[in-house]
Amino acid sequence: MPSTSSRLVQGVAWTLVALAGAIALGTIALSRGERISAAWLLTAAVCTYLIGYRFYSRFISANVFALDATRATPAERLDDGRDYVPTNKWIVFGHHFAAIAGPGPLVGPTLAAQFGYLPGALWIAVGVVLGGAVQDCVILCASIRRNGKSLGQMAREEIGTVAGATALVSVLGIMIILISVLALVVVNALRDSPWGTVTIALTIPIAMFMGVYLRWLRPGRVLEATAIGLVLLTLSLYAGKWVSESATWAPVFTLSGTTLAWSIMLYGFAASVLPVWLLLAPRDYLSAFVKIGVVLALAAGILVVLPDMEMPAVTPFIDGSGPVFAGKLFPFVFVTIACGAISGFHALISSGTTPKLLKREPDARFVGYGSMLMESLVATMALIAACTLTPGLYFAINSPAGVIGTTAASAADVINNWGFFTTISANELETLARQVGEGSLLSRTGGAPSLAVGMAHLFSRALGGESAMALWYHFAIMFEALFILTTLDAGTRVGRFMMQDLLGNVYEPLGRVSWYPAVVFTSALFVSMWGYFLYQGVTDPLGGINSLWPLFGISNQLLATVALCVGTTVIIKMGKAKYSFLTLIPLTWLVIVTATAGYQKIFSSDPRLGFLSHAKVLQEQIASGTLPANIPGVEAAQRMIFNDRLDAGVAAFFLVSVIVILTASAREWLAVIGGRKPAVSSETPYVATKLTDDGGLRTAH
Amino acid sequence: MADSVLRTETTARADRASTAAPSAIGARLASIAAVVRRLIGVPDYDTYLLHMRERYPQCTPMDRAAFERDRLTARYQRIGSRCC
Repeated sequence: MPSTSSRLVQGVAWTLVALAGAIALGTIALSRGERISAAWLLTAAVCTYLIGYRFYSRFISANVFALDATRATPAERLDDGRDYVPTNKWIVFGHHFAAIAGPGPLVGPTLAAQFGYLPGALWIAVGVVLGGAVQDCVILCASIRRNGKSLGQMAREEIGTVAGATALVSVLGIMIILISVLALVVVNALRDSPWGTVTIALTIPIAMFMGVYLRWLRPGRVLEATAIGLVLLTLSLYAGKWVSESATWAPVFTLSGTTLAWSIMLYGFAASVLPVWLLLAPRDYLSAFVKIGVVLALAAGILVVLPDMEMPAVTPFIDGSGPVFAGKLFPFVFVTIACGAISGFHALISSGTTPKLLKREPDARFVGYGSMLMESLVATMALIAACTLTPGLYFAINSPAGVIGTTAASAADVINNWGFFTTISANELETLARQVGEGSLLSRTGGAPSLAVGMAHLFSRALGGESAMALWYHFAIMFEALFILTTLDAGTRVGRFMMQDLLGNVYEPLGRVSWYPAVVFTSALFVSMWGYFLYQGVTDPLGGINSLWPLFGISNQLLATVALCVGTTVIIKMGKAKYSFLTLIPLTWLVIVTATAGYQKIFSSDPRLGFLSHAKVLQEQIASGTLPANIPGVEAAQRMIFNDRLDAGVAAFFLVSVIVILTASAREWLAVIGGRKPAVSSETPYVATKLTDDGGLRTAH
Repeated sequence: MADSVLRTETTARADRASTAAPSAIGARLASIAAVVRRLIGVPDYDTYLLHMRERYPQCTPMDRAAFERDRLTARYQRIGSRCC
């Protein structure tokens, strides 16, 4: 037990943290009209995380699950040296963080900056402490008490077969939408950008060279190969610069959106059928390094420069009239900021590799809750980087051509005509594009380019000055695309295996993972599924992100709904129904948000927002021959109508899944609470650990 | 913190100490490299070998290449190692 004086010191310290957080939050919330420093946002976020970790996560680990250091974990009991390996908690933390940190927390907050920084900053900080980190930690705890079972298995065993099947199908659905929208982000960043295209394209042969190096030249020398890869990556950045300045080569690599879309589909297909050592594994090693490096660099950049927020705290676009995506502040800020606050996808990681590595039960708090707080910090930094751009610039980059036109003059005119923000001139837009080495930055929707400009701003102020802007910009684009493509290629491969699993039930040979025709067929099938949505997004005059990103947000929250339903069921069956508010609070909020957003995306009478009313408007325009100029013809309009209805169908599918899983879970909860079903936990029985504190084996006595 | 990570990593590899670099700095670098490798998700052959020797001394473990192939194949087959 700590002495009275050290408890007093701790009490004072935590009071100070709480006070600092409250002052920072108050400053952010109450400042109107004047610009505030990013330091306030960072302080508010970090203090909220600290308080949440110290008190709320302790409640989960001590009261709800009663995590026990003397209880052997699956890693110890089932240790096989392969999947189940007792591992130091810092390594598991790094591993888990690298797995959950993807492009989601970078893109979501950047898009949500359309509402100003305040709504996003609040939701990222509050949502993670009460929602996202709770979900990750609860699922991790539930899984380590069940031999590391997956979310799907737990849904089937704890709730029922219907819930299990819904979980499985929704995972497949979310993968398709996720991959297509991420691919669209890459296409929009590389469209008509020879520099970016060459740099990203070169990462593929670099990875393959590393694969060959590790296979034949110097097997097992991973760090050596990765170091060579990183040097080559830097060179590819300069190669891109050289190409973009060459009169002969620049036009060759200036690719249209559709060409890039086909190339990415081809890449996804190749990653799915080629051996993993050749492409996927080396890319992963590179990407893990770059990921950790850039997150640290972003943190350092923000801390050194401490930029002012140029974006207002709240913009007039909270009324739903914003150009980046349609919809009002509620529910769309919560749908748009997916991964930085709560992400259902994490539940798959928390019930995947991680529970098989934890050496001691109490580590679940640090790994599950702690790494989600880190992810949320990344989201806060992305929001800061996006909000350091002037609003005029931010909207010029993130608004589709259908809104701001295709020239710097038209974009400046439209944005200045809103009358909401400091005016911007066409000249400023052109100068900035030149500074970052691009022909134009207009309508590069998807968040990646505006985040890259924000990062280039920060980095060049800290290091290298204005002349380094172009290099920093393309460095940031390279990093984001590397990030995204690693999710895309691994995701396509996993999706292929899921298709094989499913189709193997229909025709057995299709399930054979070593039968080449089956591999090629299922890969092509899965790629064409996400490829369809990608192509639809690329050719959409409204930019595609507009319709696809909300669908992604909804699907991710559907998965979070599944996870929180599983968590609630587990808690109730442990006989701790009084603590079920822990998962019921975020669950209730998510269901409200997802249901409202899904309903509005399908049925809203505003054609900018509702898929069906947009289809109806197009139909009327075809009938009266008044199609707007940016739609090339009747055929294109009909395709758009079909896509609108398809998107409405996808949203409806996600909504129905939410209702199914919620109903099935509620029935189970009521049965247990009402005493019709005994509250029996399916945890594996207690086995005392044999591990000593320093990680060695306890000698028998 | 980093020290405790390194210490456990080193103890786990006690049997490897003889093959590591002779100097103390070399050993430290080797254990840092081991941590970095595990962080970026490289299959950990030494732990596997140690495990096989301790638990199943009568079985022949997979060689390094076979082990790495096995781990990489497993990693990219299941969902739960990559996220958005």
